[in-house]
Amino acid sequence: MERVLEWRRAKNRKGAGLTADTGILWVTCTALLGLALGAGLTWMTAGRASTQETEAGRMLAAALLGLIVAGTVGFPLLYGAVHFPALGESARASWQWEPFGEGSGLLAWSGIGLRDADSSSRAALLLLEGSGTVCVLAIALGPVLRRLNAPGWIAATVAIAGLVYPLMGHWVWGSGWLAATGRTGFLGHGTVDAGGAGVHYGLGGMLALAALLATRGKRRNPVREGNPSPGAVLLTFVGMLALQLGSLRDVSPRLAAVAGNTLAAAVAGGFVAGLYMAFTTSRLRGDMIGRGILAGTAAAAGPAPFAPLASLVLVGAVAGLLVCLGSYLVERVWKLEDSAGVVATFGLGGLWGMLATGLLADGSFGIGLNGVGSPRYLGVSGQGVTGIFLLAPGMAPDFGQLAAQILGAVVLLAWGLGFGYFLFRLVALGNTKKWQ
Amino acid sequence: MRTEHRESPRSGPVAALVGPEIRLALTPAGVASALAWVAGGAAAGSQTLRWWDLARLFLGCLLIGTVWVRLVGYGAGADRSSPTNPPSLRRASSARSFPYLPYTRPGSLSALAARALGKAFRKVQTALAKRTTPEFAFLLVTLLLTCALLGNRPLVACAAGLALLGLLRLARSRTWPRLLLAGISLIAWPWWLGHACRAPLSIPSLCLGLLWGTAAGAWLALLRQDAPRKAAMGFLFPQATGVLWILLSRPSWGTFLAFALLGQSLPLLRAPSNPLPVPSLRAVSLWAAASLVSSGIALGGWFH
Repeated sequence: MERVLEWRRAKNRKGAGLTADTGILWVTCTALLGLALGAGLTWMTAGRASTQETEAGRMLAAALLGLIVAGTVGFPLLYGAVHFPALGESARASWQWEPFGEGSGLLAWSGIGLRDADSSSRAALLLLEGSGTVCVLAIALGPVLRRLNAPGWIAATVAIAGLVYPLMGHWVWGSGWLAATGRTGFLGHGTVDAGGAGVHYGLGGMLALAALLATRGKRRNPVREGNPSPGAVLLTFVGMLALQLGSLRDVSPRLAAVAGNTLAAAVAGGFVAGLYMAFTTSRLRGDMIGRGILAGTAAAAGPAPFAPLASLVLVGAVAGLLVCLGSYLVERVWKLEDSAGVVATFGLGGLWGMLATGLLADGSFGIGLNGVGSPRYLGVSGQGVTGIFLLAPGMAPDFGQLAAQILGAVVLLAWGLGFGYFLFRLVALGNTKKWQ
Repeated sequence: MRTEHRESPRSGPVAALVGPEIRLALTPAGVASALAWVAGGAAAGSQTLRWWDLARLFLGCLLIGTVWVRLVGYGAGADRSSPTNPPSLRRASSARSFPYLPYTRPGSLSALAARALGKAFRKVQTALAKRTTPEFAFLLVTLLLTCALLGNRPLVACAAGLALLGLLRLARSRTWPRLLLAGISLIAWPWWLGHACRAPLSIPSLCLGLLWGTAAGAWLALLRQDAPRKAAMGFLFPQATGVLWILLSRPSWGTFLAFALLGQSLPLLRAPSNPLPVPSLRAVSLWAAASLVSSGIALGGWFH
């Protein structure tokens, strides 16, 4: 913990002044823009015109409730152990529960309510995490919102915004035990998830799958067609891109590369998904192309800052293929009513993005991340987060990073699917509406 | 190795070598081959036996009695599960087309590709299934490994044996050459291998092994009731040649072998008609087994 703080303080000293202000501005703007994701997803998941209004209204209400819960409970839980030096904030003491000594942080707390947003940097981060909360809620609740009564979706919203998402976020972003596996278990730089491939999209997708499984009725309902509107896809894409760029928390030339990488992955994802559907059905399916674009974007959230453009094209292409196969599995084989394909798009895309970081990170970025490997890592000066393929010249492959990413993905799967199923079973008891 | 109960010599494992109906299993054919191996080892000479020789003897008996006989069965195409009609081949021919990719619709490129791939896959699968089965591959590898363990000379003999199997496979459509080659494979090759395990193969041993192989071929014909008189002569004549040869150098063993030959001749020549009675065949086979081992002992110069 001390090493992390030291590293962050050093970075803070180096980048004080204008960088901090521009960083705050950047995070604020992207956080607000990230809210578009929720709107786009609602547009996508809303089905027939007769139920569209109700669903959209519920989603809006869930988003508002989620923002309130995130501000009061979620944010202190998620960032209770971090001091935001990257945004020019001075270190501040807070509480973290580490049951097995340093690096085993399971839970953190920095006081209930919006007290933590008493400075501009904290307010900016709160906005960003609020946006992230809305993203997870929209993905997780979108497919099942119609099936739950008011107490059901309210309880689910509170649980996701106040516990499920903040805890996972704390483990990966808030100096929790997954981030610390680089120091405690020699697993690379620990679990790395720069843009929220796992914590936002993977977790949301797994929660959606758990919700669909938990609320699965005995009656076989006809599978609705999703809404393949380009507007909905574009809105979601813009929101996702904003969240990813905001997650870097700094204005630097790297932003352009990250945006370019994300766009490349999105294009590759959409292209491969479209090609696949043309190959198998002899027609272009707009909804699948949209899903491919979003899956590529979700997957790129993991490796976009760490890998070159060519690798991101590969990441996007794989995500595009995965989304087709995953959609088939969920809709045709498991017969779950996931009309917008969020499980395959975000769940599979996000998990693949987490793994792709461990495979394709080239080592040129993320030096000293999570307090590991500064100034030298694996005997190479200036080596950052590194995978095992397509490395930058002179970098040594790091199998530990791959192991850390696999561990992160497994934990995410267990937490999202396991705990999520339990949560939705609880919520659905007596609250599941009969299909109309 | 499967074991199988038999009710008559015609449905037994030896007959299976020459008829396509019956499965080959460890039984008299395996025992005869193992005895030929022992006889070949004895023919190599009477030098002091070490524990390693006994271990090799045991290992060789297992190898010949089970693995080799099964391989000969494959070579003769006698087994239903042999490469001529293995289950994998039947599966291959009845397999449906290549698995379709998710979402595939009839008439799409994916469906066409799956059909083309399925066709190609079936072709490859059929071709592979014709050539080999997992059991065949297992037996072959076991044979090679065991021969390598036994030494360099057995490994060379193993290569010769595999060539013999190839010949047997080529000749399987012709009755007499197939029977002759099957006899050589079942008796002569184990003899040679047994000899090669202990000492370099000598000309007398090579010839005696060949004589016994020829006799075994005739014996197989006898079991099939193919021209029984001719087969009986073919069975007795090579033995008689061997007995004469041994009689010249080892009169005592030669005398015993002559008596054994007489013991075989009487039931065969006195048999009234086809098919030969089972007790007669059993008696002949016992005498023949004793002669086989005795001739090896005699050639090796044991018990001066």
